[in-house]
Formats: sequence, structure tokens, C-alpha cells
Amino acid sequence: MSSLLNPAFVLIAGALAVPLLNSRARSIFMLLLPVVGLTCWLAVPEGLHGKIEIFGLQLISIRMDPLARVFGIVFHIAAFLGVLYSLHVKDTLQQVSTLVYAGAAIAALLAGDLITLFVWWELTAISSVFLILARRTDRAMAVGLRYLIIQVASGVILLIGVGVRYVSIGEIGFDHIGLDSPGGWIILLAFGIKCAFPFLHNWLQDAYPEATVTGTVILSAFTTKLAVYALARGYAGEHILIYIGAAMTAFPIFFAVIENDLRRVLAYSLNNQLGFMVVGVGVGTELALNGTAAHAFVHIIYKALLFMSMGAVLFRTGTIKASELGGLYKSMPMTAVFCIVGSMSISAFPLLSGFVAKSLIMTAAAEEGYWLVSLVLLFASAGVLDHSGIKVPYFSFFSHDSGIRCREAPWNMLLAMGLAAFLCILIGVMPGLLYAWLPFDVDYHAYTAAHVVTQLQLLLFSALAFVFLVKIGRYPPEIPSLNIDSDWVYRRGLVILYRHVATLCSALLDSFYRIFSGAGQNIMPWLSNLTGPDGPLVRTWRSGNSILFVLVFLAVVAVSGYLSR
Amino acid sequence: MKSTEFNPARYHPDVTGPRANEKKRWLDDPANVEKIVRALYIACALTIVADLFIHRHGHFWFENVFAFHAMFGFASYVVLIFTAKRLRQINMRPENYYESYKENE
Repeated sequence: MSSLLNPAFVLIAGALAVPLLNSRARSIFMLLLPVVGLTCWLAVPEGLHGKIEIFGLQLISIRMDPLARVFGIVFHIAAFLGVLYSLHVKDTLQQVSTLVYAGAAIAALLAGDLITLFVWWELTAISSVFLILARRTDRAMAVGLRYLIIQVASGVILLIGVGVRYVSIGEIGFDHIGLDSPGGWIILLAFGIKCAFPFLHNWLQDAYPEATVTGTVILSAFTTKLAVYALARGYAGEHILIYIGAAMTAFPIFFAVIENDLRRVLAYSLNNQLGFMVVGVGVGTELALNGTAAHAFVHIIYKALLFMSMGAVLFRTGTIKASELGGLYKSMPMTAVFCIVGSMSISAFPLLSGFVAKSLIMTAAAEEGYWLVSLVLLFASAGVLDHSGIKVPYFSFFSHDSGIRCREAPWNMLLAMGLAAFLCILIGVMPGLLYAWLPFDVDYHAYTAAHVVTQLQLLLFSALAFVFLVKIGRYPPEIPSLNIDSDWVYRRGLVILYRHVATLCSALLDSFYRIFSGAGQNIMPWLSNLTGPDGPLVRTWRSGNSILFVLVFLAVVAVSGYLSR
Repeated sequence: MKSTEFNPARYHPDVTGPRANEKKRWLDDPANVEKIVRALYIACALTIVADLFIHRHGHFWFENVFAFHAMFGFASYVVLIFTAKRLRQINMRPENYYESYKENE
């Protein structure tokens, strides 16, 4: 048991120094922080460090193990890509919140107990909201508040669950929790909100597309994958997660098909990808948990790449609506290429990163005999090809020429996208590089002839279906519109309910006034007589009267006490 | 719907419309797009041919059916699109749906 500096403090303390630096030094400093942070991260030996005792509770601020290690590596990569991508932004608010947010998420990975987890869990919520508010529009303000309420609520629910656990079993360690233990369901609910379980999901699609160009890229990496990590640690092998995860892979893709805002399409797609990871947690075998970790790793990179490419489109053209875009490959050819690499990665084409990660989960589910779940995952894989593989690049860069002519993305954005695309290809070609970091030993070969051929069949025939539907004119057109989802309940349903209740209350109040305003004319003089100067209630009473009053009162109490026996 | 007119007011101020003497791109020619589509047909056919030579070792009986993934992929895609179009009939609203409600006060 040694005490050492928490590697997450590199980013958090660094963030506080950012405002002190001028622009050139600031850029270099911010790029160095994730690099230094990653070096420190890799240097932390496995085991428990940084024990603190507060109010008799044993807190463990640093617990390093292989599961935390692999998530931490990709969190640092994501932080670096995010900083590089947003290097042109001169907004100190966003810079500081980016670094604090990434640092909080990394610190949360190290939490050895649930109280420490709670602290960092809430800090990720509070620090990340500024990436939405920084867009500085009325809409972003409203979205940001909704996001903050839901995120903080998740933390409060977590704390309640921890309290229940502590009171009933005196246990606050952040290890396997399970549903049978006290507070298990409550903590699952807290994790489920951040992990965007069905019906708890809509904060994600609501908030991420409304963040700044660069903010969405950063948001996409941390919160939800921290939740996946927490689930993998606390609920591995809980079978209900298999079905929750399968539902998550399937239902968002229907919304993604008809969504017009391309960053919102990606948010639905993010939700779908989380589903695969949750299935992996639910299956809970070594292969499945390796799959969850591997998929989280590659997903963070290609999802960031996709959000970066769509962010660049928004940055240059001022819109991200599919109905207003098209033909952008003429103006932004490099962004288009990088976007296609990301699209093919998420679709899991062979030689790209999605292929070598997703198949771990699908194989694990099949090995345990979940045939229906396997079919749902296959269906969802075909769906991914539609919305992320085809729709996003097709409607922005190809399709009909919208006539937009603009400049290519700035150099720092291109560099960040290029680096992410390179990582997608590198991991796809050399999966051993990733497998070496997975929590359990890997005995899996992604590139068997059967796997490559069947995967290509699935993807190419899905693409064929796309061509077929376009040719017969049945592919749904992009329509400037909005699709209501479960957020309707609180964005519209509650408002309607509130209006009705308010109308009812004011009607009641009106009749109340009507009744009493007439009576009031008689009551008021009487009241003023009673309490005004020389009124009976204001008069000074003799002390004998007071004693009499107390005696009577006590007698009443005594008699009623006697009678009620 | 795609509007055919280019309207710069919708976009970032730096965005311009197409120049008068723009050179034609390879993809502007529908014949070339057709070439890509034909390449896809060939690639699809190749995966079916390849299926003859691989040993499928799926965990479930259906995974070992010849060309199962091809059929399932195609069918999934079509079902997905048609279901999503149905969904649109239920949940599609104008873009200012949530904002307009507040203005109507």
C-alpha cells in the first residue's frame, strides 16, 4: 500500500493552469497534458493506493487493475484527439471544462470505493455541461439544464444506493455489486441513466447534438463509457443486461434512419453501440468482458472520428441537417475520406477496428447459446451500416449536390481526424496491439475465412438493399423535421400536465377569493378588534390568569391521557 | 425534401454557391455512379461464391445455412427501412415543435 499522485490530477490541475497561459503556450501545454497523463497512467502499478479515511470510511482513491487500465488508455487518447481537434477554439471556458471533464472521468476509473466514484461521477456531470452551454444559444441553455438535472440525478441516485448498501451491509467497495445485494437495483438505475438504457436514454440524443462543434466530440467519449466501465465492474454476468443491451442495439436504429440532424443520427448510433457493450457485460464471460472493453476502446475512437467529421461540416457550412447538405466531397475531400474510414470502422468492415472488437461480444453471446440475442445483434449490425455507414457520409458528402462550396476543415481538425482514422486502421489490421491490453488473456482470431466472408455478406447485401431501395424510390427522403422520443414526456407531457394543474389551482384560488372576499368585509373589522390596540388578544393579562390557563391545559392533557388508556 | 435552389442565407457566411466554370467531377457523371453500383453487385456475387469454399462453423443451425448472412442482411435492411418509415408517421413533428409550444402562451 503506497501513496502516489493520482494520474488524473495531471489533467485536472493542468486545466486550472490553462487560463494563465497565452494562446501559443496554451495550445502546446494542452496537447502535452494528455501525453503526460497517459505516461503517468501507464506507470501506476496494479493494486490499491491512496487510502484515505474520512468519517470512519475507508476510501481508496486509486485502484489500478487491467480493466481500469485499458479504459484509461483510450480516455487519454480521446482527450488528446479532442484537444487537438479543438485547438482553434479560443474559448477558455471550453478548454478548462474539457480537461476537467476528461480528468474526472479518468479519476472515476480509479475509484476503489463507491463514495470516491460518486464524487468523480458528479464532477463529470458538472464539468461537461459547459461544453453544451458554451454554444451560448437559448436552445443550448435549455438543453444544458435538462442534461445537468438528469446527470446530477444519476449521481444522487447512486449516492442513495450507496447509502442503502452501507446501512445494511456496511460495505462501500466498488467491486461486484450484483442485483441481489442491498441497493443493487438502485445503483443499477444510476449507472443505467448514464449508460442510456432504454427509456433512460434520451438525455443523450437531446444534449450531444446541441453542444458546440468540438464539445460533442469530447462528450461522446467519456460519460457513457464510464458507465459501461462501472457496469462491467459492478454487474458482470447479470443476465437482465443481455436483454437490456439487445434492446439498446435495436431500437435507436429506427430513429437514426429518420433523423435529419446528422449529429443526432450519430447520437442514436452511439446508443446502439453502447447496447453491444452492455450485452457483453450481461454475458459476463471472460471473452464477453474482453469484448466490452475492446469495443469501448475502438468505439471511442471511431465515434469521435465520426463526430469530428460532422463537426467539421457544421463548422464550415453552418448546418448539419441532411436535408440541406450534399456533394460536400467537392469542398472537403479529406474530411470525406476520414468520415468514410470512421463509417466503415463502425460498420465493422474487415481490416477496420470495429470488426476485431464487436465480434468478441457476438461470439461470446453465441457461445452461451443466446440465439435470439445473436439475431438481434446481427440485425443491429445491418442497421449500423445504414445510419452510420451509409447515411452519414452519403447525405453530407455525396447524394445530390447541395451547391455548397466551402473551405476544407482547419489543419488541426484534419490532423485529429487523420490520427483517429489511422488508429482505426491500425487496430483493424493489427488487433494484437489492442488485445494485449484487454483484462483477460485473449484466445480469439478475428480473421478466419468464415468470419470475413459472413461479415462481408452481411454488410454488402445490406448495402445492396440500400441501392435497391434508392433505385425503386422507397428510401426515406430527408425531411426537415423533428422526431419525438421519450423526452416528450418531460419536454411536453410534463408541461401540459403543469398547465392543467396550474389552471385548476388558479380556478380554485379564484373561487376561494370569491367566497372570502364577501365574508372578509365582515370578518376584517372583527379581526382588527380582536388583535388591534386594546383588543382582547393584545391586552396584558394578569399572571394569575396565565397560571389558570396552564392549569386548565394540563388538566385537559391529564384527563385525555387517562381516558385514552 | 432536397431543395434544388441554392440558398446561401441558410449556411455559414463563408459558404459560396457553385462557380460558373466548375470542372465536372468523375462522380457527376451518372454512368460512373452506375459503375460503382456494378462493382457492388460483383462484390456481393463474390461473397456468395466464397461461401462455397468456406467451412461455416456457426454456433446455431441457421448460421450454417448457405448465404445466411447475405439473406439476413438484405432482409434486415429492408425491414428496418420500412419500419422506420412507419415510425415517421407516428412521431414526426415540425422542427420548431418544442419551441412553438412556448411561443403560443
